[in-house]
Amino acid sequence: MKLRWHSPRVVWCMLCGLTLLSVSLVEEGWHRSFASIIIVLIAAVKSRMVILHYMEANRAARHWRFLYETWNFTVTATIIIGYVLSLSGRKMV
Amino acid sequence: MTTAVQSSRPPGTDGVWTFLFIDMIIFWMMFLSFMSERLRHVDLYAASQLRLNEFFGLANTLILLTSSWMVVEAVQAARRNEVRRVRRFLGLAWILGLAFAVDKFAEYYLKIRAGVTPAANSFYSFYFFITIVHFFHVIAGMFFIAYCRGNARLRVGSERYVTGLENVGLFWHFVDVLWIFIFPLLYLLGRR
Repeated sequence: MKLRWHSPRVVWCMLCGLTLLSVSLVEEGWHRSFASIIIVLIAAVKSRMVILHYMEANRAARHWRFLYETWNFTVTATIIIGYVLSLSGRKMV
Repeated sequence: MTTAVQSSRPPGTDGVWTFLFIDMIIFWMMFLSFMSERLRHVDLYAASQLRLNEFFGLANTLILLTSSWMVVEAVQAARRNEVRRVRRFLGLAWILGLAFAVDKFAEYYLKIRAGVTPAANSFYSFYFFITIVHFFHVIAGMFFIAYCRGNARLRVGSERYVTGLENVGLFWHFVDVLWIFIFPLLYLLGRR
């Protein structure tokens, strides 16, 4: 049987791969500021995948998908803006 | 391998979607408070974060992601009226929930033994508060999963059971979504 890219198993593989990528960015000593922002963006992508494919928000009433995706965006923006603000006044390392 | 099954009606009930959304707003406010406090004590937060072992967080992320996948499989099996698969996948999801709890307890034990308590500083107050509130959600989810597994033999096949299991699935995935943000927030952000 052909595996569809959004089948639960494929989504799980992608989620685990993205998680390992996040940790490897820290472990490999990437540029700290960029790595942190990428890690939060990866979390946003993972969260969206769970919301759409595991919670099936893409089949729920439209307003639920809108609200959950808005929450996802808001949390991501909150963390990234907070992090970027914390860099101001400090030398970017 | 069996095919993915989608029901013709929307998953879960509006009440659960609403409850979860309100809970998500509460967690967003916790994240906002954490980030705002972090701005005031950047060096303290960076130093405190280094005492957390990111591999505990990584293990818990992988455990919850796998557990979420098991619940998706259980919901799809319920839609096909496959009692044995529903029970098997819910059993695996519950065991993975237990693994999450063991990992969390081990982490708390090591921290407290090393003298790190919620009173140590505001980073650890947030660390313990956010993870303990999340942990209570995991325990509640495990209770719901065990309840659905216990009722599977008698009730798989009824529309009501499928909807109930979808609601439990929504809750469990929501717990997963929260951890997806908690992990980088507490363990990885700004780390080197």
